[in-house]
Amino acid sequence: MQSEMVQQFIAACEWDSVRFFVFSSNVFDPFIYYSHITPLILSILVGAFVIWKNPHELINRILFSITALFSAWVFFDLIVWATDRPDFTIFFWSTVNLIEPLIYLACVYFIQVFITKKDTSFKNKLFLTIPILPILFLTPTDFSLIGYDLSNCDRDAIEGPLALYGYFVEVFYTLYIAVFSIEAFTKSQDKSDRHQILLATTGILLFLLTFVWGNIVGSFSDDWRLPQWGLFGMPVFIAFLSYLVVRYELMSIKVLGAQVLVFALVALIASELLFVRSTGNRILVTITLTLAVFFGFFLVRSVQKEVRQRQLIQKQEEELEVMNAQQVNLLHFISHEIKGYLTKSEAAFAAISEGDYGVISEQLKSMSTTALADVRKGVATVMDILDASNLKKGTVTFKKTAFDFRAAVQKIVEEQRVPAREKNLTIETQIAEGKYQMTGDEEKIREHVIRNLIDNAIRYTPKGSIRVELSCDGPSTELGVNKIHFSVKDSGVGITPEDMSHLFTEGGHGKDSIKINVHSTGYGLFIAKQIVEAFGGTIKAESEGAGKGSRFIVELPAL
Amino acid sequence: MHSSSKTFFSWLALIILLVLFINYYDTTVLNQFAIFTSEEDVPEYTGFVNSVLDLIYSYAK
Repeated sequence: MQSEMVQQFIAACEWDSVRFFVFSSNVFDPFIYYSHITPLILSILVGAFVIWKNPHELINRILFSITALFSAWVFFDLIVWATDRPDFTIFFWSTVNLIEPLIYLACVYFIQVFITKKDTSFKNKLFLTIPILPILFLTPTDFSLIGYDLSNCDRDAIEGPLALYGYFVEVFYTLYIAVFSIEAFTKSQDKSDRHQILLATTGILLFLLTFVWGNIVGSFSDDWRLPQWGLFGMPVFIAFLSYLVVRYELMSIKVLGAQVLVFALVALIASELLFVRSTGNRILVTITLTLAVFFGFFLVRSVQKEVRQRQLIQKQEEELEVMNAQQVNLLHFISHEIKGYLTKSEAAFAAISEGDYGVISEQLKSMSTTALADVRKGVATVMDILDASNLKKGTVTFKKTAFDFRAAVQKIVEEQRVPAREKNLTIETQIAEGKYQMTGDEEKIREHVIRNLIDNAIRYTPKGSIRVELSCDGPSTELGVNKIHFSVKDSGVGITPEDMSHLFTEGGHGKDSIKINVHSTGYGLFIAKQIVEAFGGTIKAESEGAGKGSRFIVELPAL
Repeated sequence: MHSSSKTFFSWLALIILLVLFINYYDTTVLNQFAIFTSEEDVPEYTGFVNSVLDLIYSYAK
């Protein structure tokens, strides 16, 4: 029981009575409410959110413990600021001094589990808890608080040596975190791990350092206004953690940056209500808060929708890639099998035509010759598909030998004059003087590029002529590399702008080309492009449109 | 989480609660704490550590 004299002293101080533990005019500066309640609300919300999202994860439990201890510290400290009862001041002040090092201990545990991604050993826990034991057992004694100073109505407790010891423990824990993190950071080889360690350690050290220095300065100077700023270390720590959670989905939490920003914005505006005093300002802050909540809700919902769509597209893309690979494999398998049967048929028809099975009638000979030609066309078609499939899978091997490109062109032109004549077409050639030696797979370039382009020109030109041009750069080109320019121009059906865009793609038929060439596989130009590019060349097509002919231009590096 | 962790933190929490209860009973029920009504009576801790820190603080100030 307090003596009568003490009660008279208290009455003389004219302290305000307290409402809801923390509200009284004894808290002379509204900034104290702002500095306490803002981190308190943030801390409670983040702690509750983390434990609600995944209560079984150890790191979530530790973070929850930190926020719970911090919230208790802030709330009890606010009681100390507001209370008019000396017994409450003594009890809550000593409790605050007990909770403070526990927050630091929880932070050490947090950073250890965060970095190592596993629980620490019993020995480690015991080692780190030992410095706290004196505080724990001496809190109810005079070593913690010597007494209550009623001499100047300041409602102060007089701290004993235990408070100083507590600050040493806090500095020790802070240094332990710094050393532990630096060691882990230097040992880690993974860039992402190092980034996470750096951010988590910076956030936690900023929080602890502002907290400890504020309290130490307050203890020695008896000016407790400065330590109020130390409490903002918690929102800073939460900001660092939020970034880590958004970026790396830590603690098994999926949070969007927009959610964090809206939450922070709403919390900051809401905490302004504790700070402003005039009714007009309160109304303005309330309107701003309502608008922030309203628009924030729709913003988060819209971002969530976009993220869901993006994830769906990503998933479908992955599925398509798998299906595409399966399709290529299937195509390759089927083509390979058909090629086998066609090759056998080709051999059989060739043997019949050439009389290997004895003398045959003229009618049978004619039939077998036609069948042989058809089978050869079939083999060529299957080979096109097979080549395209192999090129796509990257399983084609190219020979690299020096050959004369001009000779290859002249050979194909001579061969193609026969089918051209059958369609009453003429093939004109213009071959400039120069060296046409190049390195590459002669057979593939000759058959899939030169023959394919001239063959296409014949197929898609109902009447008129085909012009084959060949030239090469002089020896002093800009890059020091000679280039062979090969082009095939026809007066045929031309290419529409619509068809032009998918001309060199796999199976890329022109819209009306199938009417002219029913046997077109659509792989010819795709294969030609792959081969030209494999040897460092380019291929392109030009056309003024449907019915206006076309020109295919190939450029290949010469020796 | 190690199996020992639950035991360890349960004991720690129990000790903390016990300490808080004793402290609460001492201070708010029994009012077992000193109240100093004049500045002359207010004691100062004069241990070694405090003296050193006071010295550092006086320099810093």
